[in-house]
Amino acid sequence: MSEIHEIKHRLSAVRQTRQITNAMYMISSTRMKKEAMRAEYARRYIYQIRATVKDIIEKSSYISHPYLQKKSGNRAAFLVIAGDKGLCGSYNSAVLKYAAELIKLHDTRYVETVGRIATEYFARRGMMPDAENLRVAQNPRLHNAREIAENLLRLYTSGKTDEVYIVFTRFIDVTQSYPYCIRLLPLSLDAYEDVKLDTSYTADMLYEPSPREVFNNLVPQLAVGIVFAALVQSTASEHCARMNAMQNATRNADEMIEKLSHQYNTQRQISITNEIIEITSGSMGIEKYKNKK
Amino acid sequence: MKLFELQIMTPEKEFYSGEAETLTVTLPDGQLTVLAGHAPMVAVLAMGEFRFKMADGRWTECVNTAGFMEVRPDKVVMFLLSCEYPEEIDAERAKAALKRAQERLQDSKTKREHELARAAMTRAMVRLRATKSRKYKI
Repeated sequence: MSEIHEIKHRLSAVRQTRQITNAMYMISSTRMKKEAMRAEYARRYIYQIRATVKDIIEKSSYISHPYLQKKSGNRAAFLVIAGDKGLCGSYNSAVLKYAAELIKLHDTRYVETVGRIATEYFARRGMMPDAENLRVAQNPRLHNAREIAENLLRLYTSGKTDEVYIVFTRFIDVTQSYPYCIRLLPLSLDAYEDVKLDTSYTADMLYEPSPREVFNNLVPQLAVGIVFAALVQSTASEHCARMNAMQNATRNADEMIEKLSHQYNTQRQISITNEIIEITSGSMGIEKYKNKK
Repeated sequence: MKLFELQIMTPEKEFYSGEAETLTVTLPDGQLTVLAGHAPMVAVLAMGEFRFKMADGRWTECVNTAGFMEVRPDKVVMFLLSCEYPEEIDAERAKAALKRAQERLQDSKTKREHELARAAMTRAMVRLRATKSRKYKI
């Protein structure tokens, strides 16, 4: 009798969990559809802006500017983008593991995180992040990106770091997304090997108003653009990962409900059979007793 | 007239992609007009207005915040932080934003606060101006 109650209890617990995972699945699938469109554009934007910047750098080899010069030190600043919430499969752990490996390669590091999970991850490993951004990962806005980018650039221009990296999750499509790293600064061609140029003209560039002013203005905008696009891509990947994880969870819950209901029915049948046996044997006993009388 | 390819992108959306005949932008020290076959150039754009003539001869006017553009022999790519059509701008809201920015400018204590308030004020003024002047009717 106690077993049947236990099964009933578990069954209702699994049903409740299924309701939650199913609701989360529906929410993230609708959010995902919206974010996927933004991410698709963000991917194009990153590509275009980097192709343009690569073209500009290629033609500016004789220009010296703090943003263009490689420094000899091994100090690096990292912006690591992950989520505020868990329950999204391997999304957080994949990007964080990837980031931790890259960070290890540098002697002095500055780590800025986006998302609570990222902050907790680094804090657990004894690398308390130097700056964190909460509640940005859910719905990234341009002004979030602007603040983050300004902070990263200040680090570089004030000479506290030699390189600036952005680690995020690149969104390809619903089934594909993977951790990715872009070096924002210094601007040099070796960081742009993954970008193919769509033009091949050779000419001297004009700079309006001056090379110095051009790079002073171009880099902050490049930073804002890339940070924003990286945030958008990460958000889309997160929703996508959550959608898949919750779909699996719902499917597992369905399987479990089926198994448990089967068990419950069997147990119920057994207990009914037992009761009938008890009743019939009891009544048979009474009849025997009556016949004896 | 010869046409060139014009692509205008902001972090949030692709504003325009297509052919254009003439492009006039605002630089920090004045206006600049680009035609097809312009010498390769990188230019810093000031917050302000720009307009371009499309292949069918119609002019399009836009308002932009900070940006830069690369001019190639056959193509112009503009990267702006934000860009909008004047008719999309709500004049009342722009006025309110201008007032807020002016107050913030007076209250600003640090250099950074001052800079931010100045930028907000310029943005509001540019947007407000765009709602008033319509030299090139579309």
